[in-house]
Amino acid sequence: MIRELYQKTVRETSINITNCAIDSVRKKSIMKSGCRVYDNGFIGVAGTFGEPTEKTWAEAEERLKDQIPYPFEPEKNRKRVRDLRQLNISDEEFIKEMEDLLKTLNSEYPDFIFSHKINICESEISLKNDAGLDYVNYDKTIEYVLLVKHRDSINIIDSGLIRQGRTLQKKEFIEDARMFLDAFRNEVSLPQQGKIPVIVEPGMLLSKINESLNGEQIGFGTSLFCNKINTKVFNSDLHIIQDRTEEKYHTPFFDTEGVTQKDDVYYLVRNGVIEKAYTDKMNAKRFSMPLTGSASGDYDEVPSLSSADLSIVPGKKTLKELINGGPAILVIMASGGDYTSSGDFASPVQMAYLTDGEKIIGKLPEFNISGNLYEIFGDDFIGMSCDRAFMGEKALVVKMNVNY
Amino acid sequence: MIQFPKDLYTDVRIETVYKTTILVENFQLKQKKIKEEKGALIRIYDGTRWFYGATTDISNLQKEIDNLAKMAKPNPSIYDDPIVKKFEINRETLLRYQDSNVSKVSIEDKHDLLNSYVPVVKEFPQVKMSQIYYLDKYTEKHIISSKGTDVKFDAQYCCVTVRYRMQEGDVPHNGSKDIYKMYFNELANRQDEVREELKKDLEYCTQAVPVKPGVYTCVLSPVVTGVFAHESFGHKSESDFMVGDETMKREWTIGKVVGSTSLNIIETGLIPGAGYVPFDDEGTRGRKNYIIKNGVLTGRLHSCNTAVALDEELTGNARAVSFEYEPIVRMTTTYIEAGNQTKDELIKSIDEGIYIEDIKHGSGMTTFTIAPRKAYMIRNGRIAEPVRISVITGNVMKTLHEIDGFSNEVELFSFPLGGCGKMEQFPLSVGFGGPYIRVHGINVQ
Repeated sequence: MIRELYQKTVRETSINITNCAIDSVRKKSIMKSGCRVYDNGFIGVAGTFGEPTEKTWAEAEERLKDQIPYPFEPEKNRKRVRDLRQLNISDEEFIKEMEDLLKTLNSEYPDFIFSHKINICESEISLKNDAGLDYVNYDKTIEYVLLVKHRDSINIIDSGLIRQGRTLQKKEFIEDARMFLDAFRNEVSLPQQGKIPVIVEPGMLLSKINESLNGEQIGFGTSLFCNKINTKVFNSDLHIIQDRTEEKYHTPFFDTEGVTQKDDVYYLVRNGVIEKAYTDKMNAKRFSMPLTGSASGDYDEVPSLSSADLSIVPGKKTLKELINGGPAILVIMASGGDYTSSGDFASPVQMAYLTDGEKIIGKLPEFNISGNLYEIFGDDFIGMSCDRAFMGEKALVVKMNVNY
Repeated sequence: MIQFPKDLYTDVRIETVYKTTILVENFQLKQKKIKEEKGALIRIYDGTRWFYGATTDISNLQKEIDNLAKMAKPNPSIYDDPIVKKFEINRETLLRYQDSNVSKVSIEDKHDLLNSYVPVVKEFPQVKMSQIYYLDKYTEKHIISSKGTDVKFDAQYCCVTVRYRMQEGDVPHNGSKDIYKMYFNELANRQDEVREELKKDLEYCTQAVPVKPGVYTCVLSPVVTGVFAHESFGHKSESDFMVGDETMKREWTIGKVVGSTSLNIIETGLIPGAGYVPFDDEGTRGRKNYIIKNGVLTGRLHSCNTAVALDEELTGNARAVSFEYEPIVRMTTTYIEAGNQTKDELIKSIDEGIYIEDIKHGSGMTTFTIAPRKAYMIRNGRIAEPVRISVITGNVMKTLHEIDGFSNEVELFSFPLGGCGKMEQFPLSVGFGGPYIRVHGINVQ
C-alpha cells in the first residue's frame, strides 16, 4: 500500500473597496489535506482541513472497500520544488500602498466610483508519497480587480481595471488606469459593423476547444474533434499548449496525479493541426492516447479529467503589429456569451474600447460579437501578441462579426 | 464562552457542514466520499473598518478573535454606531432538519439509490458519456455577536443529478436532469422523470438546427423565467451597488415603474430549498420581500451596512458562500408571481417566436443574457422544430416592460451543481422560479 498526501494551502490578505475607500480587510489561512492510499489497483481518498491525522488516513483506507479502480502506479522517486514567490510586503505596508493608490485615483478621477478587491494570495500546493514523490509549488500574486462606475451612469458597473502579477505593479496599474479612464470620457462609435479585429480574453473563446480536446470525450466519440485528430482545421499560426509554466498563476507544474511534462508544456494543437487530446492516466490507457498530465480534482477527490490549462503560444508580433495600423476593439466586459454545440459563438459586449494597439482611443457603445469556432481560429485568427500592451497580459486578436 | 474584545463590535459565524458525494461516471464508481467540515468567520468592526478572519481552528477561536482585534482601533462609542445599532438581536434555535438529517442515512443506502437510476441511462445507447451523482449537504450555522445575537439553525438538501453527453452525427449535445429534494426518501422512484428528459434531449440532439438570428417574442419555461428574474432584476435589487452613488439612488427610487403592470417579483429566504435562509449570515431574520409589485419598484435587498447607508429596513440578504468569506448582499429565493393564463394560451397568440425550455447559464447587468440548452421555434401558435441558440439577450429595463403573459402556476428550482456567482463568491445556493412567461423583443443569436 502506498500513501500519498495532496495539500493545498492558501494564505490571503484581501482588501475590500467600497465607494472609493477601503472598508474592510480579510485575512485567511486555510490548509486542505487529501490523503490517498493505493492498494491492489484501487484508490481510497479522505480529506480534512489542516494537517491530516491518523484518523484521516484510516478513513482513506476504509474507502478502499468501495473498490474505486485505479490500476496505475503512483509517481515515484521524483523531487522538485518550484518557488515563484517574489512579493514581500507586510499587511500594514500593503494597506498603506493601496490607500495611496486609491488616493491617487480618487484625486485624479473624482467622477468615477471604484469598488471591489485587491488581494495578495500565496499558495503552496504539494504532492508527496512514501514512494519518493516530493513535489511542491509555491506562488504569490497580487490581484487588482477594481470595478469602475462613472458617477453619472445608471449601470451597476461600467468597466473594470484588472491586473495580476508577482510584483506589486502599483505604478503600472495606475498608468493603465489613467489610460483607460481618460479614454472612457471619450465616446466613439464602432469603426464599422461586420468583421473587424477584436482583442478578447483567450479563455472565453478557448472554452469550446478546451471542451472538445478532452480525451475522454474524444475517446467516447462525443466531441466536435472526434474525427479531426491529426487534421489541420485551424490557422497555420495557431499553436495551443497545455500550460503549466510560470505564465500561469497558482498552477502547479504537476497535475493531481503527479504527472509532469518537459518544460511544463504539452502541445495539443500545432500549426493549426489538432495533434493530441489531453488525458489523465485512466483515459490515456483506456483509449491508447498519450498521457498529457491533465488530471484535476479537488483536494479530497479521486483524480479525474475535466479541463486543461490551455494557452495560445504567442507569435513574434506585438499587438500594434498584429493590428497593423487599423483600429481594433479591446473587449473589457463580455458577460454571458457561449458557443452552441456546433461551435457558433455569440456574446453581448458590455464594455469595450477602441485601440490602435498602443493607445486607447475611446469608449465604445454596447454591441454584440459572434463567430464560428473554425473561422475564429481559422482564417479570422490574427495572432497572439508577444508583448503585454494592456493590463500586463499578452493579447489574442481575432476577427469577429460585430454589430449593434 | 467567547470573550468579545472591548470597545469593538464582534460577531462569529461557525459553520458545520456534512456533505456526501457519490459519482458513477460512465457506469463506473468514481467518487464516494463523506466530508465533514467546520470553520468560522470572525468579523470585527471599529466604526471605520471591518476586519474579517476565516479559520478552521475552532479550538483556538478566542486567540483568532484577539489577534484580529489588534488590527482594529477600539472605539468606546461603537454601540452608538448606526450599523451596530441596526443589527437585530435574535436568540433562537431552529433545527428543522435535525430528525431527518441526511447524515443519518448510510452511504450504502445512498449508493443503492444512485444505482437505481443507472439502468435508465443505459436504455439510451446514444448516450456516449454519463455522470450520475448522489449529493447531499447538511449545514448547521451558529451566529453569535457581541450585541447579544445567538442563533443556531440548519438547512439541507439531497439530490440525484444525471449529466449526459449524446451524439448523433457530428454535433455533441449535453443534457441533464436534477431531482432536488429536502429529504432522502423523496428521491426514490423518479426514474420516469429522467427517462422523459433523456427522450427530449435525444430528439433535440438529432433534430436541432441553427436558429435564424433576430428579434423574437419568446416564451420562457418556469426554470428559464426563474433565471431571467434572478439575472434581469434580482441582481439589480442587490443594494450594495447603490451605496454612495447619488445617480443610482435617483434612478432606483422606490415607487418607480420598472415593468409591466402584471409583473410581481418576490425575494424570500423563508421557502425550504436552496434559498432557505431563516437567518442571514449577520443573524438577521429572513422575510418575504416584494421587490416589484404591479410593475412598481417596492423594495431592494440589504445587508445591515447597505440598509444603514440607504436608510431602509433590513431584509435578511447578507450571505456568504462559505465560512471563508464575509457576507455580502445576495439573493435567496427569487421568483415571479403567477398570472392567470395557461402555457398553451401564451403560445397560441404567437405566429413566429421561440420557446426556451432549458438553460445552460445566465448573467445580468444592464443587459441580461441566457444561454439556452434546449429551445424550439413557435410557428402559428404551436411549438415546432428545435433550434440551437448561442445566447438570448435584452436590455433589462426595456424587457421588463415587454412581459405581457404569465401562466397560472409557479415552479421553483435549484441548481445542485452550480449556483449564483457574484464577484469572488461562487457558487451560492439560491432558489429561483416562476410561471411560463411571454416576453417580446428578445434578441436571439
